Amino acid sequence: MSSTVQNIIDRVSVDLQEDPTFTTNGIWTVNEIIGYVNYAETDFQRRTGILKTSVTVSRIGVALYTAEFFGAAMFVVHVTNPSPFGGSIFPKPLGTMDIERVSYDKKRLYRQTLWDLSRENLNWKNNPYGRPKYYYEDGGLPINTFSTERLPATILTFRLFCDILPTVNTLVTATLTIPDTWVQYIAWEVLSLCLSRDGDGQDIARSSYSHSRYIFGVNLCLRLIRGETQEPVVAVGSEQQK
Amino acid sequence: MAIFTSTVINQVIRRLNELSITVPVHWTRAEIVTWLNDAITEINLISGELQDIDSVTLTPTNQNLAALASDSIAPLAVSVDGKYLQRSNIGDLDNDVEFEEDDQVASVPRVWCAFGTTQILHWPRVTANKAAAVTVLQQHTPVTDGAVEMPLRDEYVQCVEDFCVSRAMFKEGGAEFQQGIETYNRFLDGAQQLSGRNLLRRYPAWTASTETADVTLRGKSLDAKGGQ
Repeated sequence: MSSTVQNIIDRVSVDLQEDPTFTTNGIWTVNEIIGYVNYAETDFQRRTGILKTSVTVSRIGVALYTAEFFGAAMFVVHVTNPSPFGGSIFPKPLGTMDIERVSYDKKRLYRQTLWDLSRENLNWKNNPYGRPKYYYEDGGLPINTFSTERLPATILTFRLFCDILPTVNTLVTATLTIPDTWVQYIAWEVLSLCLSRDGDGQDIARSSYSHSRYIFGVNLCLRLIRGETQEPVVAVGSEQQK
Repeated sequence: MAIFTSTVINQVIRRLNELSITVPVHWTRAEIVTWLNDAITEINLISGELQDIDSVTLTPTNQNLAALASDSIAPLAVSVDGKYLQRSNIGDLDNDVEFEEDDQVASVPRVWCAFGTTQILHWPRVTANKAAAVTVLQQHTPVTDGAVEMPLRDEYVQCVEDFCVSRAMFKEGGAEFQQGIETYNRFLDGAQQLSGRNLLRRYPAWTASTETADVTLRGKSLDAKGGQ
């Protein structure tokens, strides 16, 4: 991964018939392009999940603390009375976005909504302690947090599979988060945004075309990630395999 | 006979109706080289033409995960001891087995999943370090303008020409941009032909035989695991 924001600027300036510092025509600015690069990188990662990470989030027994620092300036709040959330609130680790999977004590937790949990068992909040089976991200939880329907009583760890949130670029020398292979598609989306801006330089036809080429790249990426799977996994020696 | 990148760029410039191939007026050779590399990347993504086999060490301690080499685009297949593993995805695997559990270990894994494009997740975890041969889609080394061989079959180099011409016409805008779309469609036709040729070798259709899997898992059906 060695492509930089400047590489994108060099590419799009050619198509926009601008110089790489965007001073000839004064229609676009470098800072504007950097913003578009951030837009395109985040959008590409959100659509494809091309970069994933496995991270852990630890908690400490509820009787010991009411709050603690977690990571850089983020709090884990341990609620001794679990209402209204029914358990602790855990922050998504910094630099991550969509949670794909959560496991606790080596067992996968099922994703649920607060509404579904309450519909299934109105009294679930009255039994707040024990091994969790579900996690949820809605129901008034703070942004970028998740919670479980029960609190484990001992010091244990949640394991999360998350998509990586691309680093926000502020300089033209910044290295892109998205791997080099996909840089041309990032450039297509940046071009699309440049050509769809209000005012001078707008060219909706070329903007739409650029966006379709970007989406083509997204689909090529998704095809590689999803691949082609065969029959369901069956344990060795089971009846299904025989 | 090898086709050089300079030869392709010359022809692209001629097709763009430039008078000089050495000093074109409306496009520079440098920008066409960028598009040339883009074309090779895209035809590779469509057809799976450039593949390599990376040796990746699966370890008992890395929680079912293993990272791929940085120059690989995406994993296509995984084999251990010469036997291909079955490809799945994390959702399906989760429904079938509790792959993080302590007893989910074996000397040879049976299933792999893509974890993004930069890592693979395998099941069962290995009991000791194990070498896996991972077939990956490979990023080509960027080519330069000169006596540099095109990293592509000769009969598909014309597709790269089409891509570059189309890309150059996009820069012109207006009617030329619209005309360039047809040229890009020619590129796609060629890429699809190459994709068809590669289809049979892209993904293995068979799975690891039962004999290669570790006996510790033998006899444990999914139903016996209980599920959820």
